[in-house]
Amino acid sequence: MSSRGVRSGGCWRALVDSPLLMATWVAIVAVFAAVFEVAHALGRAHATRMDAADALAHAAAETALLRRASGDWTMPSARIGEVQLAVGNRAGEWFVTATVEGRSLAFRAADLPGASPVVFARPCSYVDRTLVGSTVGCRIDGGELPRFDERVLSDAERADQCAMLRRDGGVALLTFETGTERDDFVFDAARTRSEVSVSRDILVVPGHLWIQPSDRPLHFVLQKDLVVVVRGNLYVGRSIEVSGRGRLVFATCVDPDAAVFADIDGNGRWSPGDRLRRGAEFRGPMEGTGNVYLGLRGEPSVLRVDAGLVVAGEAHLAADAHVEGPVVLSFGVTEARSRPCRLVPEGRWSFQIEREVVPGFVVHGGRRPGVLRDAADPGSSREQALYVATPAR
Amino acid sequence: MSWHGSSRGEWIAAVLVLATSLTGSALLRVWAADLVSATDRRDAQVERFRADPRPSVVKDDAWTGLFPGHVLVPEKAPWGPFLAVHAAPRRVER
Repeated sequence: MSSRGVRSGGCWRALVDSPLLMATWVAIVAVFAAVFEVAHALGRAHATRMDAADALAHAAAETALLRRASGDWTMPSARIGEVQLAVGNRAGEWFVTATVEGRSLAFRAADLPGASPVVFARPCSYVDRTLVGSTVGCRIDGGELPRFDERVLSDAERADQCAMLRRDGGVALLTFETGTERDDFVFDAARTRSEVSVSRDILVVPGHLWIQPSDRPLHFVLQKDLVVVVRGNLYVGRSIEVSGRGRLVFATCVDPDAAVFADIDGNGRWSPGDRLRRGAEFRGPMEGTGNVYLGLRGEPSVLRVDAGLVVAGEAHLAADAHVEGPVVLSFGVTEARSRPCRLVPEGRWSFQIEREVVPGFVVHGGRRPGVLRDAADPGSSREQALYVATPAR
Repeated sequence: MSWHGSSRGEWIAAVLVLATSLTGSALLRVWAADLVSATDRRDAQVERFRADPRPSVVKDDAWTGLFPGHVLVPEKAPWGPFLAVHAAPRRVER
């Protein structure tokens, strides 16, 4: 053994050379282990206390907003228990600051003109009595159908002015022999990898909207809710995915003087054998308006639509359609002759109708604050980028 | 000084140090485990509250003690049922 090794071994031996020294080392290790565990527990407890304080601040902010909006409170600031609150209304938005545990949390809520139609809180609503038992949902009276706010729609972005959509004179001929009489719009494949700004939350399509068949879903990135109002028919040939904070709703309109029909033979136009749903005789464009076709040319056999659907005309199924948002059926559901198909309202999401406005639809009730959100919430901008993340065609 | 040459007093002191430290650390660890357990329960309660702060849930006493010094009360707002938070009334000594 070298002298260096002896010195080193002697040094270590000196540290444990008596029972008292050994006991001291063991005590130090035990106490350190205990202190570590206590520190960890205290850290977690502190984090949970902060989390609870945040939840308390949110609840207190809601309460302050209620008191202020209903006129119970007139002062701009108040105190609830340990929470100091300040409430204000600026440019059509409510702002609440809650101070608790030495931290200030800022919230905001839109100042809403009223509540949204009740159908947007349900997975499926239908008027047609014959759907009872065959479709999961709630039967409603025709008067409960959501109505468009035409004043709002007239100010909305139109598809013919939106760079992401373009007219396509031939798209209908790919599916139906005779095409359509009205303008057909498709998502522009050349622009699907760029961001397109859509002002407000509504996009109006002055014709038919086609989402061409594909095995790959069409992917939207939305930071705010978007309602696509189709003043014609909606043709969906592929699944639709949405990512981001926003929700997507497709809503079709029926021309006031046009007939509504069920396309029994599936040829895409009014023809002998089809069934009139509204009107004594057929009027309007031969392909009708307000209809929704889920599944085109038989492909794919299952559609997953992460959107809400407001169908002003007849819904036509050529595929099993799983719709994740609210479904509203003004008339019936017609299945393709070739194979039985199902419309499945999944009800994965809906709207808080008392505190959220579905853009473009008439509201009811008095003014009220919207859902209270974190002020740092990025989804508060009045404009959003509408971004289709996969090629449209 | 060595293990063989240690006095009785030194042995007793070593045993006392060991016993005290091990008992103390065991007690601290039990306290920490209790705190972690209580934190877990409170954490789950806060998560449930965040996920579903409906007024009807208050009736289950699910949120008792969630916010010390405050009480949650179901109320009617112009837009429907609402869960309001109030400062807990101070206890009056008689």
